[in-house]
Amino acid sequence: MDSPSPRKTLLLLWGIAVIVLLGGVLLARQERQVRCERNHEALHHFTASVQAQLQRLEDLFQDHLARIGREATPNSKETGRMAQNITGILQVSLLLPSRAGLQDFHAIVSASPDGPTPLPIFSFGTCPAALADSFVFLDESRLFSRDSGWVDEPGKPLMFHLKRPSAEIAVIAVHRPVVAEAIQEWLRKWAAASFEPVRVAGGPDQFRAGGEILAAVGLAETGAPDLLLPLRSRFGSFELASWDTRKTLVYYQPATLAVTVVLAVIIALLGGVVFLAQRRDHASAAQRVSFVNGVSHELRTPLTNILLNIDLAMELAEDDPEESHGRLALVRIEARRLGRLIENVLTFSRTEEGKMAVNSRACIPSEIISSVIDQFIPSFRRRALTIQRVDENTHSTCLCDADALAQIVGNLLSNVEKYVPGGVVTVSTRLVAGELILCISDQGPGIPPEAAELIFRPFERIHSTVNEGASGSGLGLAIARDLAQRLGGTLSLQLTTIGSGSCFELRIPAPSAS
Amino acid sequence: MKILFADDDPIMLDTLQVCVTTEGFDIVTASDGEEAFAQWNRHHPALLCLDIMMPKLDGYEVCRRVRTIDPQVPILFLSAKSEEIDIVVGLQLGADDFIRKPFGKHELIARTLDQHIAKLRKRIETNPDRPLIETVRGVGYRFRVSEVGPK
Repeated sequence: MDSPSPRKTLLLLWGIAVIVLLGGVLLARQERQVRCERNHEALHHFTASVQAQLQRLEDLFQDHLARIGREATPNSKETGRMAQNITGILQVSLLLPSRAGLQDFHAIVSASPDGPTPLPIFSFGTCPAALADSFVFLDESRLFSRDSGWVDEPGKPLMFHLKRPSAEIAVIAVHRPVVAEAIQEWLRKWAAASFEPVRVAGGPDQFRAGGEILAAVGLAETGAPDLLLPLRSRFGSFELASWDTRKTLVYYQPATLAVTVVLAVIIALLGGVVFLAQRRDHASAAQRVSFVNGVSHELRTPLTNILLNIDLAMELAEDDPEESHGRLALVRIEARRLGRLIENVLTFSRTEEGKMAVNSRACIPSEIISSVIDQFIPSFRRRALTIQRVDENTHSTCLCDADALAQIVGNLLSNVEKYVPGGVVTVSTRLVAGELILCISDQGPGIPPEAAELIFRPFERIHSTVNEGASGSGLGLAIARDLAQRLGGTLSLQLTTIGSGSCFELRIPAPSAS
Repeated sequence: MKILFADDDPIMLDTLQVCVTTEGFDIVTASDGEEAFAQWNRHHPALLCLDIMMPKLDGYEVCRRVRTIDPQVPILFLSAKSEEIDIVVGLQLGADDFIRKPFGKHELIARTLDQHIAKLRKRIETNPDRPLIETVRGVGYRFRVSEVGPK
């Protein structure tokens, strides 16, 4: 099964990291409602105004009742007319004192058409329980103790009583809901203008009577008001409700947030690590495929030359022995080429497995180098390449890994063979203070400075218009440098300019064997 | 009959040259793609044998350029590239055959002769009265040449 691409893995893990981060932020997020207390000065002022108005209205109504009570006469049309002009009067009664107490005269002077029926019947003294709902029980001592006042009993009409100079007592029954409605209606009109200062101060505020809103500002909150100012009067209850503004404070739990961020960072880093590892694996796999293809390609060309030249040598053996011999020499050259390639592959394999070892022994560097150069002379000749040797005191016996040195020189010359179309190749060697210095310079197309290090990496081959399409495994220079380093030396590309050739310098320790 | 061989390996070029000249063909060589195209323009060989991986221009590009000018001339690829896709690309670009390295002399001659025989057959079919003046030497392949003659 194919492993997922590094990019997909990276995106997946980073996506998970983002989801974890978002989830953690949501978990850590906390909200808290904060009440911002408002200035209620305008509201208190309005409440005082309403209270004053209620008192004024009640006083006014009481004045009207007192005037009727004073002026009422039994069976008088005038009294009836007066009573009808006042809102909410159910009936006006005059009670005369007698020996037996207050005589129920029932001088009914007026009755409101809206009043309850039957009309209330006054009763004094003990009230039979069965008749309690039908009678308004009046306490004589209370009636006589004050000049005027209210009798307010639950479930019974509201009564106003007034002691007249003639010792008669006027009792006026009032239909409370009618009066309350009138007062409420008046306050609604009054509040339309008087509520303005509250409105200017901002809301939400409500001025309401029972469930009915008489004036309001702002959108009332659904919850209970933060400030409730009740106003009670004989004719109904009013209230001013006010809500403070609320702000939502958002904060994050530091512990949850920290854990989330750490977790997300770990996942993101993990994604990065997995991405790099996968990319390295993919690149490594691609390089190995490329390596196999490159090696396979490199093997096929010399193998073809060997096959063709053996065929030719066999055909020409009798007719032209000299040419046949020349063909066999080519077979030898190509076989050596194959051998170098196979040696490189094996060296690379040993290096990868960590089995590469240095075997220093006594040898003469110039002889080793010369033997390698000799192998290249025929193919160099075909490429119009001339080899120039410059030797300085390298004929003495030194301690060195001869095979590794031969392989390095072979790979450097093979590089020249592949990429240099012609000219002079200078191979100069010298021994300086126990160090062998070898320089191979050519007159080829050169190597751009930016690729000076790239060419020493395995499988890397620089591309240019000159060598594009040329074959190669991409191992030769990498193996040469690796061997040089294993020998305790260096292999580097000296500074060159494009078009003026390349110069490789090898420096390895070569102490005298004596 | 003149054959163009293009390969960046000088030993390969030298060997191919000897192989086909001993069989009676003339040869023109090129060591890179640009030279191959120039040689084709100059000599108009009867057959092109191209390597694929060459400096300057690869064999595919040379084939493409030649095919835009001459759709008839036989083109063979002689390449170490051996994947199926390499062969398919070569054939799609108009090559007539693809010889995978490594190959021996007999395979090379047989394949180049196939191209030559096909060309002769076409010439006979288009002009049957014209005498067949082309001769091809080569032990082992002469009987195949006789197949293309007038019956």
